[in-house]
Amino acid sequence: MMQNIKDSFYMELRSRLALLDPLRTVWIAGTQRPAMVVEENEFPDSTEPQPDAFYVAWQEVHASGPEALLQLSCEIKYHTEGSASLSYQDRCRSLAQLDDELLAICRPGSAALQDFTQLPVADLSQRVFWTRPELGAVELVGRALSRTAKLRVFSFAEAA
Amino acid sequence: MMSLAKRGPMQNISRQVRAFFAPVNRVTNAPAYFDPAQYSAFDVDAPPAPWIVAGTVEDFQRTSLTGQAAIACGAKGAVVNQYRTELAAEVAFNFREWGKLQLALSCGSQVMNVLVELGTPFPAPSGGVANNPVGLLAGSSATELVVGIGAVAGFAVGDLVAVDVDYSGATGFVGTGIAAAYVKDPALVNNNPDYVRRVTFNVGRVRGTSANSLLLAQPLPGGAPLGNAQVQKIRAFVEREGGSFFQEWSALFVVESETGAKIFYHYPRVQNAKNGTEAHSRLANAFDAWSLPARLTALPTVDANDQEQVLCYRSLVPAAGAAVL
Repeated sequence: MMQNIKDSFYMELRSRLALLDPLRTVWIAGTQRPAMVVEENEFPDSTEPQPDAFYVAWQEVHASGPEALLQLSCEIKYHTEGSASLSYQDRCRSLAQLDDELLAICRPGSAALQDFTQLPVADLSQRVFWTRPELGAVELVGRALSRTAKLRVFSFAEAA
Repeated sequence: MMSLAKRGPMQNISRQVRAFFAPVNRVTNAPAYFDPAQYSAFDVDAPPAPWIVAGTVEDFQRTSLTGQAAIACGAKGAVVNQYRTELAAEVAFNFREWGKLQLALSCGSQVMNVLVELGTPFPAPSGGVANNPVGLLAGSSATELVVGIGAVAGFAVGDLVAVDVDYSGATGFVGTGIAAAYVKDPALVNNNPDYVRRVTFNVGRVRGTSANSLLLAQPLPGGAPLGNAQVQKIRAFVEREGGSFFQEWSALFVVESETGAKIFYHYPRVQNAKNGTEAHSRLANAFDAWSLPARLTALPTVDANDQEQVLCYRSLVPAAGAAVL
């Protein structure tokens, strides 16, 4: 169930990003895909995070109530350097666009809970929902501006 | 096999309560009914007619004021049955958004459209002698006001306008599509032809112009203007403590659970119960965020299925896969 929650959240945000900004993509292991990446799903020896992409990192998990409402803490990290053609002076605007896109793809704050280990994907007749992202302070790393957004993702642990 | 009787999705976990209102036909006393069979998938961002969006409300609180009495008998006065008395209910909440509809429901009486004045007349709290209206031409609709090539220049993008017919001297409810006030005596409104436009709910904001028409940002709440309607610019809305008119609306409050369920609270007829005091909360420890309170009394309607008198309906559209009991 835990993996279904993670997968459903990620796939929903990835699909929304592809729709919102089809040009925001990354190349990973020779494949181009929407710039929404789950760190724990990638090869352990993956290269450094790429700029202008969202990286999802799952944190602690809590369960509450008799139906075990699962609460998964999640961080979404991203950074940007701006563009070389503008001598990287547009990095602040570039970060603002990343902020806007993250806030946009997180609304509405729910999606269908699905099992992506099957083909076709199985609808589990349940929902996964999440809080609005809280955008942390901007950090300056070299010439890059980076930010970490935090949110909490919920669903019931009840067996499908 | 997938379970379709889960208990988790039976919980109501929601972010907000959304409010919608529809006018009651005051002449026929006909409310607007919400039918869950037809609107179980009610889209809160694009509600079906005649529901008008009133935004998110806070501190939503229903109060049943219906009494119960007991029939007791025997030497020990044991309760053998009960019956209901004094059918009554209220619903209270705070609007986060301020607008003409919200003011009307908060104050419960007429909300005046303050018409742009002709020159600088003697000051009047609800507006003085108004600028001349502009007549509408054929082809006008709830979103486009055809005023003619010459008149378009008199309006600018962003202008607020009121659109309705001239007051004709009749007594009764006035306002196209929505009863905005009740005229008891033409002399009380000075037989003023602008009076209907002073109170009408057919108000809007100009978002653009064409060669001969004004394009509105939102459709007129009362629907397409009548053929002899005219348009006047307005500056503000004003409501008064002390008005004698009672607004009456059909109300619908929608709670969308994150688990997929929808809960609808439907009051076919509500009137203002009491004027409230603005509530405010601190925003970033620097601002006061003011909300507009409303306290509404429910009036009864008769349910055609069993002739019961009803004040409020609470409907549940269960989440997919949720147990039903």
